[in-house]
Amino acid sequence: MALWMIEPRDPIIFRDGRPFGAWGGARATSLPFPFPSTIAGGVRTRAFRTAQGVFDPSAFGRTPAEARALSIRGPFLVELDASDAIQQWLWPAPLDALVLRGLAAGDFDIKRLVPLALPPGVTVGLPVDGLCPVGLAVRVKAKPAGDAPAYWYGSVVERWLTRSDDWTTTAKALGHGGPVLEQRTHVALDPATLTAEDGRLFQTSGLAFTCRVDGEPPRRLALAVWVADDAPLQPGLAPLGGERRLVMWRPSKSALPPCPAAVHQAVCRQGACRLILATPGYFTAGWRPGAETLAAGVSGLTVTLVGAAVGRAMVVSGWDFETNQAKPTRRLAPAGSVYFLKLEGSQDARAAWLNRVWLQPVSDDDQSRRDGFGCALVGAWDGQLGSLQ
Amino acid sequence: MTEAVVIVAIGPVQGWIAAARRSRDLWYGSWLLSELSKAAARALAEVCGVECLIFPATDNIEDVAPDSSLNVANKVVALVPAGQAPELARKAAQAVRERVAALATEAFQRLGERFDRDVALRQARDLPEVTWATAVVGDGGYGVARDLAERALAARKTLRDFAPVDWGSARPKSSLDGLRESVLRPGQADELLRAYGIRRSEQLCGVGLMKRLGQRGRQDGSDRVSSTSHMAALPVLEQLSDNDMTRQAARTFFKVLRDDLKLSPEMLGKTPVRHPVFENYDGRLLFESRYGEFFEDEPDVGQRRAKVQTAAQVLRSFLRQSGLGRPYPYYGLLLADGDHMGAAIDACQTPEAHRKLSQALAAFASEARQLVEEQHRGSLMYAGGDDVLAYVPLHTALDCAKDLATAFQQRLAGVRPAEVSPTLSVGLAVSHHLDPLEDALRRARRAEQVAKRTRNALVIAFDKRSGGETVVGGRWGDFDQQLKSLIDLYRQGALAHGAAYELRRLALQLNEAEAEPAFQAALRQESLRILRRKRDRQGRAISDATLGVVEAALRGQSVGQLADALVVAREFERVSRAVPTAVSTRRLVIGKGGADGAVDD
Repeated sequence: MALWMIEPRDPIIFRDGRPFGAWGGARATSLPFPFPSTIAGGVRTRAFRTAQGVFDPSAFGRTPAEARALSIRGPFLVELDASDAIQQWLWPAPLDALVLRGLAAGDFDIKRLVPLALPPGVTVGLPVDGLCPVGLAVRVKAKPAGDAPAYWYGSVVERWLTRSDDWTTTAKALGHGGPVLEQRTHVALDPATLTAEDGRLFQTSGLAFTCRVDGEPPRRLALAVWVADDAPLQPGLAPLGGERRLVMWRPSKSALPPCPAAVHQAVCRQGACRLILATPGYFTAGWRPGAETLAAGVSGLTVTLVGAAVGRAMVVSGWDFETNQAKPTRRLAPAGSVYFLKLEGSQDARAAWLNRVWLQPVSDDDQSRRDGFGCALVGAWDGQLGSLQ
Repeated sequence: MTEAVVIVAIGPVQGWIAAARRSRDLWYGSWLLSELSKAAARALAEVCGVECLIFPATDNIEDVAPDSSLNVANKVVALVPAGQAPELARKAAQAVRERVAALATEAFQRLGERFDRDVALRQARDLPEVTWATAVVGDGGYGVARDLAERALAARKTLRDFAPVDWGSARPKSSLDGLRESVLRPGQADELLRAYGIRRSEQLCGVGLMKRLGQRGRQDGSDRVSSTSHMAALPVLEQLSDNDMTRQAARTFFKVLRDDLKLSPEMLGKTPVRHPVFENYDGRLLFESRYGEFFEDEPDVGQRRAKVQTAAQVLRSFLRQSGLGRPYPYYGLLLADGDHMGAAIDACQTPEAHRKLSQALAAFASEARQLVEEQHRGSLMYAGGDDVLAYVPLHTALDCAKDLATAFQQRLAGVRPAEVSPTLSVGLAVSHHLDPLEDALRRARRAEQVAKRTRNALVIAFDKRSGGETVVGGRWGDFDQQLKSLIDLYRQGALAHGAAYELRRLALQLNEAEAEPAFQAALRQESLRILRRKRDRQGRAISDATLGVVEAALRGQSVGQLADALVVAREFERVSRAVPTAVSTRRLVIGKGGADGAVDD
């Protein structure tokens, strides 16, 4: 069991579902961040690859099903320092945060969205009876900042998880946009003449894992993935994603961040929390986790969903090399989605639940969990509803 | 009787509209949203009377009938009896879902069994996201209730609930957005290509098929909107004189393409506006670079090349005989949005005030159509609420944007309940006609967002294939006037073409953006010195008048910004230079004009 770093050397292409081929105007579009299943596939391919470069689990005494059972957690975004160690973790911006443009130029006001009790005479249509809308209790005039960072620094997220206040900060202190989408235009060549074919331009977009913040020197970004097996992963350069772009695999001496003590205490004491997806989650009912998933196998604990801030569905498909055909589409709750939960049970049960959930995959089926879907952070919540004023 | 405010919002908006490869996809995405909003409005009006509607506000229920000419924004506001409010909101949401199903069924009718109808319908039914909120009007009055409903709705929208996929399969995914499985059956592509404008390489899901097939043309078979290529070709097409020689040249050109080379009607196009010489054929025929795609279903490579060559020859011959140059391959995608609209709505403390605001917006939307399509020969995708989305040819784009901003301000000035009068910010993306539409739309949206930060502004994002994107902009009255002055300088030959790039280099090399103010001032002087050394296009020294214009432009901006403005001005001049003034002011009358002219000088 170890944490591995995947540091792309080239702009990496993690394609969306759109077909791509050598026709004029075709485009291979990269997703803004890889799906866990893509990285899980990459880990398994690398782990069970023979010296000749052939994927063959049997050479390692495993069946294909056993190879598929190799589970991961992640991928998570990190910044690396000059010694290849993790400088800081970056987490997807939580959707219970409303980032508003502050009064001073460059300032952001961060407001917390909470489950609301609606005053008499006010109703909203929600998909589940008894669910509360999640929003601002008081009226604010400022506009949401369109350029708010997509990823928040670990220290900022820790504050977000542990405290309950609003605060003012700057873009630089909050985080940044993560990998940068880089577009390239190519031209198809006529194989007979080796000259460009007229009108046959096509484009690829890839993710460059370096970013600049405020004109500072470029920062090295990488994917951190926790591999839950003694699989024979080897460090080194290897292709990942579309177009065989290269990444460096490297074991890390770090571990996944532990649950902040303040969160642990608050959740155990208050019997309520926020479950925040750090990777997209797969749930059979669509946007919400099933009851068994929420209970996380802890007996003596009743988990109730009070409210949810969930982004628009992400769609994952991909190519199945076993059957050599496209995988069916599935919808995922995006990373950053927040579920407000009540945990009724003893403090020990709550502590056990927290251990089962913190940065563990929270998804409805075994394979999705093995693939790393739904890795969760947990934040404090006092269980109180805000009232719309 | 106690009343309640009902707000029904329909989505998805941006992602849904942006998933477009063809102009008709883009148009249909906007049109469908408006149709769905009308369905919600109609459901409320049928129970409570049309007077219950506040946004949109109308006296005639036929305005919210299916396929009416009214464009409605994706949010409906009404005042209904308090006891029925939640039930009516649910009814409106149901009406939206039924309208989607009806439109999908209608769009798919003509396809027979050449696709997976069942999956396509399920995908289409799953499309709309309808959210609603209601608030009883209490002691605080209408304004407070509307504000409460708005905030409750915002809280509701933080949950974008979705159902799991129930059509997942190993089929390829949609080429438009990759979000759903294609419903096209293998082996049907060629026939579909010819009949419905689906390319051989394309895969379409149920909602993609709706975009491509639904309401694709008018009663006379012409398209509702022009193609991007047609927009790019318009400045040249408007130079095409109407005389015996050009008519004969055009007839020969069309005959070869249509009869000899068997170009499909889909490829030939049928534009919404008829040209006296070029008829309803699409301007894409003027671009040789598109000919490879026209004949891509020709299986024999040699034959395909021969056809492309023949078509290219006949095009060159037509252009030569008509005295036309090759069209400049860029067009404008204009996206406009009102400023201070939140404040204007907040200031509406009574339903009557809010209705008046709605009516002013509807009047603007109607005027926007006339301005874009009739006055400036663009193609309107959408005008509803305070939003406008349109294609515009580059020789009229700046005037069109300015006229829209003026019209908006005038329409809203009369009803402004707030201290601040709403203004219009415009983003204009200038893109190559073959660039993916979603890129052009993203570019326009970015430009619009930059403009909205300044407010009452125009921002142009010019994406030159050979030179990257240049973004320039500023407030109405300042920036647009300055840009016109610079275009005029280029038009008069008063500035050398290379000057802009030399100034840009200067700003970059000396890192103007991070320089001290005193150094920036020195840079401005240096840039004027550089210009003084230049010669105009006639080889004369740059005149004092020209330097005066540039010096004035440098007072409010950096050298880098001026250089960018010069680069953009030069590109606009390239387009406008090709269109003689006498021709550029004539109007082409929309579609119904018939065969005998459609020209109104």
